[in-house]
Amino acid sequence: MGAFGTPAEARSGAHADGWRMLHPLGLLVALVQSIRAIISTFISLLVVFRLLMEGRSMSWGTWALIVAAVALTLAQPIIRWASTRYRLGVDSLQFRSGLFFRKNRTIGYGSIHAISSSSPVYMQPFGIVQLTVSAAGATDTDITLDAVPAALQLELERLRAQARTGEAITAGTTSTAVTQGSPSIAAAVPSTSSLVTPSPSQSSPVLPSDARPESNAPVFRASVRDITLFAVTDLGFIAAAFVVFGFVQNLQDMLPRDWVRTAERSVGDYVARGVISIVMLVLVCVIVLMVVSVVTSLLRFYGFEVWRRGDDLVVVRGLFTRRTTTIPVSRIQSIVVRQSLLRRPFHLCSVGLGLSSSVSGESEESGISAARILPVIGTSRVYDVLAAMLPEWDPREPGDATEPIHRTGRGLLRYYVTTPIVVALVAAAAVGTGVMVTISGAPSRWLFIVPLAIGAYWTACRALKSRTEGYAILPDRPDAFCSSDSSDSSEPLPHRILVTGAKGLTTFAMTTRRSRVQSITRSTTPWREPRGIEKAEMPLFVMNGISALRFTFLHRSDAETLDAWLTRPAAR
Amino acid sequence: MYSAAVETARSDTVGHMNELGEGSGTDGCDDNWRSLPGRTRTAWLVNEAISCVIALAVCGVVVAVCVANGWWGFWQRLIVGLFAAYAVLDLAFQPLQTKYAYTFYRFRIGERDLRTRRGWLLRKSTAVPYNRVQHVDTKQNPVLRHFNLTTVVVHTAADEVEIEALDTAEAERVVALITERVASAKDNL
Repeated sequence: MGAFGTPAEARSGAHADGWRMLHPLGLLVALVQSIRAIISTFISLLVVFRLLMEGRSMSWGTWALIVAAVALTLAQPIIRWASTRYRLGVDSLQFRSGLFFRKNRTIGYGSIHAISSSSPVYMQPFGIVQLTVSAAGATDTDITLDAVPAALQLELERLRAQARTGEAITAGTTSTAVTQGSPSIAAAVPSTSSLVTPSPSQSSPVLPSDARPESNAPVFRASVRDITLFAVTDLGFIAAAFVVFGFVQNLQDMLPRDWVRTAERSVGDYVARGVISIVMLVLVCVIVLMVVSVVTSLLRFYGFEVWRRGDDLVVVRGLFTRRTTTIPVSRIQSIVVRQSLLRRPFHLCSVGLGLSSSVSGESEESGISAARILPVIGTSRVYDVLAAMLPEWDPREPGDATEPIHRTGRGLLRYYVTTPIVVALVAAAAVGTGVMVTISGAPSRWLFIVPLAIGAYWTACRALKSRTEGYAILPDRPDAFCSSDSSDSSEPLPHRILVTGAKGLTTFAMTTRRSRVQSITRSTTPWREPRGIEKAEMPLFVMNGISALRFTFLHRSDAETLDAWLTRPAAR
Repeated sequence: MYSAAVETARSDTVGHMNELGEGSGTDGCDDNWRSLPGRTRTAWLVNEAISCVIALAVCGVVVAVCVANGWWGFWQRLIVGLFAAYAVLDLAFQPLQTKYAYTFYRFRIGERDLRTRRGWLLRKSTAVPYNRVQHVDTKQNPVLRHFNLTTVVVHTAADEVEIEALDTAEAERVVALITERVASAKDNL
């Protein structure tokens, strides 16, 4: 470790009036980030100036403007670094920053929801990390420290555990009925005030932290083969094609016209050789995109490990920038097992966690870690791994004989596919008629195929939904009613529901709890109502991924069952 | 014919609501389905009329800008014309729409949950258990204020449900009642 990397130095100043600055490396990082942020704008402006000033020299005023803009851009990170201080107080982490617009933030140790760190390759020799401390709710309550000793994370974890144990003991010795501090409200309130947010463990039974599940080995480790499989079967690489296309468009504006014309002529000549050439070109493009996807995934997910540490899941990943994300289990709102069309033939799936905090800004990497808690895994082992990772959720496979899924879409296929078929036919007729009347030319007469193709995709998605939508209300153990969070790791959390369905051509199985469901909306029409056919939607307090339980069509009896499960739970 | 259809639908809807309703609660105070005050229709009509005037004003501005800059071609005329026609037709049918929306709007403050119902063509029923309610707001635009009406908005962690256009005094009572039931709701998690 570097000069700042020992625990003693991390602890120095703790619980005393010792404001500390960020490591000087943080200044360098901030400058580089600032330059990266404006580089594209800067180059675009240079190009514009080049075109405007063609044949003329730039005046001293223009040069002064450019220098002032650059100086202002570089001054901001310097001022921010010089004015940033942090301190480990007696019961809270304190942070202040800013010269003209001063920002002070305090997060109590007991209110800390997650501590995430990332360690880029250039910081690793110095034992420095970038730390993000999150409180409940919105990301603008986070504290981000750009360059601090790695030992600070351990110190904060220790202080947080100490604060939570102290609160749990206090909660256990009082008989106050918990209302505000109950996990559903604590998990549900998107509070922006970190000081008043109650700890999610406040209503947990008293247990010493070392009695909670701990693992000496990661519960899941992704190999390079797993990550490559993930990259190859992730349709995100197609989206990368649009990004590349946009990049090429921007490049065309900046390169000399002769170069662009030469390149276009070369491609045109190659394509003109025949169909085989076109196919080869497309194949090369797909291979290039796939290679880019594999490389990007390896950079992001290399060494992917998931650890269970007490009440937290710790996700470690990344090749050059090593990211450590801590996700408190109490923040988990849902577990979603997804199987895309590409992964189904290979019996692969991916698992994501629905969280109660919004994913943006500094917490984006935390959100990515949660959204892909298991990037790719075989269907034969996924539930065993989940059981080891989150035993209190007791994740069940949809085909489990003890709790069969009740398929809500059974027998209702015609309701699912009528609308997409009718819309597709009407749109195709409209497009075909419009094209015949307005546009001349044989190729354009085939435009009606576009709405037909879209309609066919939509119909296929709806047909898949009719086969897969369903639910199973998972049984509670009698003594699981005693507390809202299971005190014994072998007892599952109460009031769980398993919901299956499809989004596009991707099937999913989601496990969530009644406390996460916020309301139920049922709808029907006069022609469906006599047959007892309804739609139902139950929004969840989930900020990422699937945010509602949706049943496109279901029988009234099923809608009543779900309504009663939410609004009229059985008395204890 | 539409009125007859509305009456028939209303009885069907009441039957439909009874199917899904729970019956009266133990205190019998606010557990029945209730409709909105009669002057709500007038308030909605005035709101829509103002929206239509604004939409037509926007169309006028767009026309003026296009004509002044010589951009007044076939497609501009078509788009502006369609937009203006939609606004005018929407206003023309507003009395029917308002009557329809008012006739089929109901809400109920039950023992365990708040429920709303709306629509006949697309019938929608929403239930919010009290232990999911985060906070309760009221809102009142100038038109509602003129008619002494207030909208109550019930927020959950994921979405919100509105009880539209109650008497202001009644809205305050409803807010107090919901808040009281939220506070006493058990968290059966």
